[in-house]
Amino acid sequence: MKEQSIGEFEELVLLMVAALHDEAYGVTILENLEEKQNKKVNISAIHVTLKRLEDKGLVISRYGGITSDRGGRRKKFYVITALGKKLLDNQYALRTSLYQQIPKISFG
Amino acid sequence: MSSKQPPKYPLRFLRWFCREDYLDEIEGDLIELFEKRAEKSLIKARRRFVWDVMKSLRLRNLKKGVIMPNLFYTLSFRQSLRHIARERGYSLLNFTSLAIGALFFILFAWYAVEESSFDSFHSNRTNIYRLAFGEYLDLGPYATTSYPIGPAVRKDFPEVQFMSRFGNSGRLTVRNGDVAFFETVNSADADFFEMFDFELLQGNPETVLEAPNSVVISETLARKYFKDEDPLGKKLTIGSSGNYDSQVTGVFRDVPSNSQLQFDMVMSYSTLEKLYSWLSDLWQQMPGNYTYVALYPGTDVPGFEAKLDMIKQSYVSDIERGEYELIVTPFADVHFQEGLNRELDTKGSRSSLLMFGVIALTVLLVSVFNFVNLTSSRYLVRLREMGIRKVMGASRSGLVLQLLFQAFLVVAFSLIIACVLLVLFLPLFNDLTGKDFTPESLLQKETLVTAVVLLIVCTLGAGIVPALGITAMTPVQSLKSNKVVEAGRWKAGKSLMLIFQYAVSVLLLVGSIIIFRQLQFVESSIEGSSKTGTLVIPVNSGLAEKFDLLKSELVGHPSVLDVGASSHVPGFYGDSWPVRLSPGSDPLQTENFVITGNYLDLMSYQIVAGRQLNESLASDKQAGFIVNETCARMLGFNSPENALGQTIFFGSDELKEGKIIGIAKDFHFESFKEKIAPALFQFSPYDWMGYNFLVVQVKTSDALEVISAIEEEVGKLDQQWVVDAEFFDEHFKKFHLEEIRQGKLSTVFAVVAIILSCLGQLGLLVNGTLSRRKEIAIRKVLGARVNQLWYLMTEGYVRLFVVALIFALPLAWYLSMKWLDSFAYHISPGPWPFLVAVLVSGLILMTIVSAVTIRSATANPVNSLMDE
Repeated sequence: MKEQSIGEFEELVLLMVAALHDEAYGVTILENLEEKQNKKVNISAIHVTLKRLEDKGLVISRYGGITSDRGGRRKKFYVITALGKKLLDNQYALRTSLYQQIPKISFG
Repeated sequence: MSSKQPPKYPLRFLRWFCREDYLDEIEGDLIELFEKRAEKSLIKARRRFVWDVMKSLRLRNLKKGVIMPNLFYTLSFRQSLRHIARERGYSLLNFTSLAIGALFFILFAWYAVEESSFDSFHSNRTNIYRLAFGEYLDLGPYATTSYPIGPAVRKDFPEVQFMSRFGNSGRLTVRNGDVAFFETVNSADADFFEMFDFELLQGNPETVLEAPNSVVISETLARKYFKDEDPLGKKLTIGSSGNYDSQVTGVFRDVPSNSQLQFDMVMSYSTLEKLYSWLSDLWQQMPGNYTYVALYPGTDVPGFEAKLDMIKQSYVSDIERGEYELIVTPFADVHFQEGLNRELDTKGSRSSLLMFGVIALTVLLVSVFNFVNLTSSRYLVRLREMGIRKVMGASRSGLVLQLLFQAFLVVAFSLIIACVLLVLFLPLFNDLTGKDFTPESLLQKETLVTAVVLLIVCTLGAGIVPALGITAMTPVQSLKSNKVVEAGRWKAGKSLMLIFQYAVSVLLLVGSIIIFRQLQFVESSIEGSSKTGTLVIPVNSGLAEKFDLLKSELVGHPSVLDVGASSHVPGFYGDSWPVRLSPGSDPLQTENFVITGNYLDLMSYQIVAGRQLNESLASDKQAGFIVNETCARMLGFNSPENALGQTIFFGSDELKEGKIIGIAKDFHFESFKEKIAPALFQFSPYDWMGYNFLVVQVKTSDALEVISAIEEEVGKLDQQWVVDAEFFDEHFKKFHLEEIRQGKLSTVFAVVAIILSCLGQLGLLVNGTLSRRKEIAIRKVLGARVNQLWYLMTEGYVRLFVVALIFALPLAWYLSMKWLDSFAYHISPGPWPFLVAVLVSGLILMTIVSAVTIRSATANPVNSLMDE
């Protein structure tokens, strides 16, 4: 099977889903991303990215319980799949190995 | 808490477009975010919420079925094409009738745009007005004005920005070296090219007409006289006196045909003013001089018009009697307004534009009705299909959309056919209308707009009724029954459409018969009022003095039958003079003709009482008048015989007293749309009043030979003069080109509409009969004979036809009377056109009905009954 490829923002969201583990849903992902990156992100972009990741089989979702918050709407939690984890591992390995090939140049 | 609610409408919108399975997540997250943000600032939170909703409006989040992605299923393009292809006959009928309807409508739109664009190329046109006499010395309203009025208005009224008079100096010889022709020479004031947007190719609009002896010529004339040379600064010899010889100061692009001012050559008015200083005192004379003013924007026009009375008070205070009332008319309205006396251009008539409009619209309506009829009857066949589609879950709106789309395809295709036909028939159309349309004008904004509007209107108009009708059934109804065919509402609609079709064909038949007969009348009158083979040749005063010599030379020519002369010839040039019954009495303005004794014979004007003028009688020379019937009547004589021998006085200052010795039968001056004017014939009353035209009766077969003989003779007497011979009857016909053209055009329109209406009737009848074919079969099995069946089937249609007649005949009578009234002289139609129209359309109806019914009545009943 062809290697899954994901974009930069997708990777960020996937990383965030993995990091938040059981607590990952739209709002938490948004807040953490904004905090870490220190820039505004639109919630709709995250929704679409999550759907795309789900289509690719990198995350799976489940609904939380009904609460009185959120206008009575359920949360949709995302968890990373084994495939997603593997993809992140590959990406990480690739980047580290490339990073280590950088000659020791002083930028001072 | 209630203040922390997210905005209501964006939320509703989100719920409307968002797919259900995503809604929990999206709406939940949006609300949660809103609640968190609202703790800081409610306004910002609301704003962000709206923004988030908008951002969530993505293709991926859309609900299925409402929007875009489903459209292709709903329209089912391929199925529509299959339907069109399967019903080839009906589709062909549809395409033809719609295409023809659209074709005629587009052509009319073109024509109308062109007609209503009259004079619209002047950017300043809303501020330009024409000054005219509302009442001139009790002689009635005149479009012409006196010479000094224009300059006085320009001087005395600060609201006048520009003023120009426009005058006609007649047809004069124009010469550059060896190149010489007759041209109509006009004159205008210095403001002329600034006020009007006639495009100057060379020369400065502000100064071209300033200096005396300046002339501005058209592009065509520039080529004619100067070939490739630069005309600027060149000299043109105008007329034979030398007074008008002018320098070319500018060249303008040829005047477009949709302009009321038509000219090839404009001389500066200062030329005339320099020559004739007395012109500025001619307050109470009426030469052929039109005055136009441009007022500053925002001028109170009625106020300006009221102030014009000052002109009378300041300059014409010595006026003894009569009104001297000036009126202003918006320049753009002049062409379409009811004419005053001595109008400059032939009037465009809104009534014939309206007539075309009605006919074009009728053609379109008939074709759309045909479309509705045919489509709805075809839809009945698809009733079951619709039922099954509904059972399978199709929504009504989806089905309606699909049917509309199919209608759209048919209309669009027909429009394409119409455009192809348009290009093919363009030369023919140009021929009929006398316009210069090119295929390129197809790409004009107006035409494209018309086409798009047509597309939408036809699709909706023709598609929506049958589509709604057929989809209104519940699935059970449409699957089970055939009864829709007989449903009351349906039947009523169909009857109405049939009545409309019948009414239209009767109406148009009556119309075309009456138009045809009126035009025949006009054409025969033209022939009656102008003998063929009469040449009219303008001459100057020098040649006129040598008339006897010229005549004696010419009559020797074998092909010359007779030679005469006259000061005026109807349609060429006229001159109006007062005539009175006694020196102090009210004058009657009459067209004056100074003639040779044989002129009336040459023009084939008949004498109804008395005799011709005789050159050998001294009494005739000094005191003989012939008047036409109108003149005699207007002078107050109740019969031609009573007028004979009566004394009348001719002239304005130096009166000529004389007796009426003959009464001429009325003849038409120019257009048959105008009333015949009073006319008076006499031998020259004053030394200076001579002939302006040579009238020569020739054998038409040798016309060219005679013309060259005349050229030779004239050349011996005056080498400068150019012979510009024209046959009188041909010249006369030019005044009627427009009517003859319009008549032909409306006949073509009418014939097409009648054909279309027949097609429509055929479609309806075939369908009506088909839906009753089982009934016919059963009746036949039970022993009905063909003629009984025929009677049964025909009776209903005949009843509808009679109803249609009740509507159509009075309307036809009213409309045709209205049209005929626009002619001063017209036929009285009588009952015949109506009878013929009823008979013909009745015959068409009976033929179609009989053909269709007899076919089904003679068919083997088993076939109809076995079906299904």
